[in-house]
Amino acid sequence: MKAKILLLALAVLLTTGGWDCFNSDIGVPVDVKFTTSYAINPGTTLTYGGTKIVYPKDSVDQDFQDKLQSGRIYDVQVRTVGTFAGASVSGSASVNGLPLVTYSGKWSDFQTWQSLIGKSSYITPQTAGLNEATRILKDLSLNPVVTLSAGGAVSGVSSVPAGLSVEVRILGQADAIVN
Amino acid sequence: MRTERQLLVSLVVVLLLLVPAGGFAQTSLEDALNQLTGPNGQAYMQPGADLFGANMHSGYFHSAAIPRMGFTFEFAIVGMTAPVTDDHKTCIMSTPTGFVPATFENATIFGGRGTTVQHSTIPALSYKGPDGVFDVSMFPFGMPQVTVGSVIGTQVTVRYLPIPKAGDAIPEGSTWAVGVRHSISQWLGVLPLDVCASYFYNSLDAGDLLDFKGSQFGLEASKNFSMLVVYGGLAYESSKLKVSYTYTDPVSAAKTPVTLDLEGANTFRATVGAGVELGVLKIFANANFGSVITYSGGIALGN
Repeated sequence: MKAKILLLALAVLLTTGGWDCFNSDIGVPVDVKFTTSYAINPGTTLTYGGTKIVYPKDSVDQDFQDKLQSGRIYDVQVRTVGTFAGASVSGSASVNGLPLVTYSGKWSDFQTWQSLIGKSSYITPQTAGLNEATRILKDLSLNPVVTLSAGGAVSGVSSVPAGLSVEVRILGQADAIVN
Repeated sequence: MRTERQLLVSLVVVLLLLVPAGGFAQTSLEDALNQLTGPNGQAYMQPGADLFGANMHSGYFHSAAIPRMGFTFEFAIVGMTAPVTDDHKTCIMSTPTGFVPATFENATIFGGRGTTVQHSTIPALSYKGPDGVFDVSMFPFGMPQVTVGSVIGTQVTVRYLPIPKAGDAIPEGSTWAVGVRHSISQWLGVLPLDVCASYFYNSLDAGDLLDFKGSQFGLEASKNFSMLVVYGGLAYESSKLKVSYTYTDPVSAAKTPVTLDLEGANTFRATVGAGVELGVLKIFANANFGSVITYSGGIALGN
């Protein structure tokens, strides 16, 4: 009888030690990244612009796409693609029609990504677009559609060679619920 | 004998309840790790290495009495647990390069919800760390253990436990330990208590994700008072948990293999414990004091 009582006490101790308490709905922030590219047509027209439709959910690792809940953005970046010596570039990028960032500088300054959190002096955050991007990512389970657009002009040259473009990249996270 | 068999079956059931729970959590663990850079992964996992290492070295012995010669056999189910303190539940992680603040406090593997930190000058930007996996006040483990002897006051102890596959992402694994204990008191004439020295080595692997190794040197003593045995020991130990995963860079999408070599915090322990011996049935419990405190207990059948 003593042994049974001791065993019962041991079993109670082992089973109430707290290890059956796993976090429910464990949130793992996975990366969200969407990059849009806006070509600058060759010739004497110095303005450019365009609109892209993006499904943020598609940029998430496929293993997590059916487990997404809320999300957030943590950076917006801009760069130029192609060689364009002597030129400058300016413009703005928008989300659902709301300004996200404005940018302005020498073409060469944008040959590497200019980043908001990198404190680039060439790009300026715009609250309306940033809030819109945040709002969109807050419910990724609905597979939101985002309209991204950018437009602006190049200056300091008389014509544009072929193969140039401006790219805008939004970096964020989406919370995947993994159990 | 029938009662003893029933007791043993009951304890095996308790042990089996523990094992799948630990395995289940690893699915979430691997998902969380794959999003973390090396330094963040290390901060997230270090408490796991500390508590797991201390647990694995617990409950090896419950007496220092080893006959000089003769066949001895003992089968034991040993459970061990380490309290999870507030210090084990949070860590400091880094935000992406350039983000302000550069660091933030987040949950570890043992913590609660991940922290969302807002950029200090651009409020619309924010960053979040992963949630913890285990929401526990205690981190437990359990192992079956067989001890056989004695040859010139020497016994050998073996532990083995297969770890079942948990989900599609986590490979199955196993954990085992082997140790040897040698009676010192047999060489020292009449002593008021039994004394022995020990060495144990243990290992755990779960596919390519986790690889644990540990070893322990100890000096143990015990004294019998009729059915009651009081025991204790001092030990030096080390443990290393290797965690391997693949980190995907959020910008370049480049996949980088990450290997974390996490040293367990416990390097020294003092053990005090007591047990009851009812014929071939032994029930015991002890506390282990070191950088990490652990408690272990169990039931054994044998001579």
